[in-house]
Amino acid sequence: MTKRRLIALVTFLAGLYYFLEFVVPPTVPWRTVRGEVAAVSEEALTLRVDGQTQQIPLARHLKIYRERPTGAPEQVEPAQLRPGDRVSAGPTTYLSDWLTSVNNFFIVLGAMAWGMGLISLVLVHSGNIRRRRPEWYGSVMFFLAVGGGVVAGLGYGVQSGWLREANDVVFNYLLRPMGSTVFSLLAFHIATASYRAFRIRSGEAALMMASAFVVMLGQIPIGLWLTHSLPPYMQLPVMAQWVLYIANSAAVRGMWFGMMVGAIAVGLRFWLSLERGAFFDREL
Amino acid sequence: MEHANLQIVVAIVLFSTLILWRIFGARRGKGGYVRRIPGLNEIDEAIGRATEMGRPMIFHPGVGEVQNVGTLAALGVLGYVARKAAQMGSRVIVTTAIPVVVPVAEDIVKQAYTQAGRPDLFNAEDIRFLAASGDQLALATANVMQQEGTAAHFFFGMYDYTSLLLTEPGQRTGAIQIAGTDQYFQVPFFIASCDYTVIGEELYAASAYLTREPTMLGSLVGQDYAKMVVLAVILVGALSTTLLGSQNLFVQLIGAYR
Repeated sequence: MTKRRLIALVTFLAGLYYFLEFVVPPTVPWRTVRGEVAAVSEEALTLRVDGQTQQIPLARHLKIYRERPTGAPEQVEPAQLRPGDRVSAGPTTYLSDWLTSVNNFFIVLGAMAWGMGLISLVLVHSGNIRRRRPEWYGSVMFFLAVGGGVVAGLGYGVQSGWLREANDVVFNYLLRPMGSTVFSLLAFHIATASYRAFRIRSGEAALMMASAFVVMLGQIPIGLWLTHSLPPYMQLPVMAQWVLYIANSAAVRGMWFGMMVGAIAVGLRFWLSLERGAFFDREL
Repeated sequence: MEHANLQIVVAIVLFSTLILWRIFGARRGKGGYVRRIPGLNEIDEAIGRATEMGRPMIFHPGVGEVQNVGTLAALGVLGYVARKAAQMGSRVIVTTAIPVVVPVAEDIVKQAYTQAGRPDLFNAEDIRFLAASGDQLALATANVMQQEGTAAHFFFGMYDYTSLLLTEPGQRTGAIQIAGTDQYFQVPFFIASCDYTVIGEELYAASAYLTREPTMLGSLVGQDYAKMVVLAVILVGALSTTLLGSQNLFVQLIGAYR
């Protein structure tokens, strides 16, 4: 129980930091000056505020945020400012200053997990070899590949020599083309999956088939050639655009709203450790 | 890092309040009705089928990092699948390309088997980090499907182009396949190659639907209230813009057209 409460506490505190970092303004609101940049020098930033100019010394704790069209601020250095930019400048609230350090902490934690991943692989493959499971020789290849990969990895950034060549062979001449080969399998998978999907077995499948037919023909020149003599709204490219950008957009936006609200709900449940199913066997 | 503007802060606080209000309401016994989600109903069927055939099943929690909302929701589903499999004395193999997911998945599966009174059935080798990239993982997972003769495949979480690389080989093995993703671009591929597909936010609702816990159900009801607020904002915004022009008070208040 103590372990669970500790996990819940750490989860809450970590989530609280990210939540506050997101919602708390990056500069102290009552000491922040908003205006239009008039001039920038090495010592001070001059802003036009309500028709009057105001000089703000470029102190170390001063943060400058440029306003984007969405209203969300973007942190900039004084050298990046141009006359006419809409900015807000004020003393930092320090939350954002810690962000890089906190993110680095999680990167270190993630790096530890790579060790766990390697242990998992070693467990599986050593088991395969020990028990002489089918294709156990593939597991021997795994250990050889790990050894070879580590040696080849030492050649990263090296300008010349056999280590550099080993790096090129493993990463550029072997892994990259093999990755491309696997990726190219997608074309065949799409063909077989489409065949199954387009068999008309229900009203929905017929609708899907019809809309796919319109969109596909609308994307290629033959679609326009077939329907160019019809009124514009009956031409296949126009119909394809309508399906893609009107009908489809409405459905996708509907999904987006649901997903965003759902993401807030899942985030809240995990943040407050209310998600019983995943990590806790009962509610805290 | 992005910072919220005032409208976003108000929206987050409002939605969070609605969701928490319904969660605590549900804990006091004011639950709600959840519509039927066929893809999630079939999870029990798939586990039962794999158990009857005496074959293991594969759970793949997507290609997103562990902090991704889709991955978190998928791990919730993994908890349920592992519990059911443990109760039926069946075996779940988890494959992933994300190393951080390995210890988390291991903990979830181990806990499920322990709670079901079958800790002897848990095998750490069944939580497999197979490769560091998506396409290599897809190949390796297809190999596991062939070697182990798996009878049910579950693909839940965030997916990229590897969705089809994972599910098409699975389709050819004849296993029952259930998928769920919040990446709408991958949904058609799952529909084409899986027996059942859970779409978009249904993935986030999966834990609630499967466990029927008051907390989870309350959260779903809260989400629906939040969506009603979004819908109302869209309707009022569209009407006010149509009748009063794009610079009316309501539009300025919600910060649109900035």
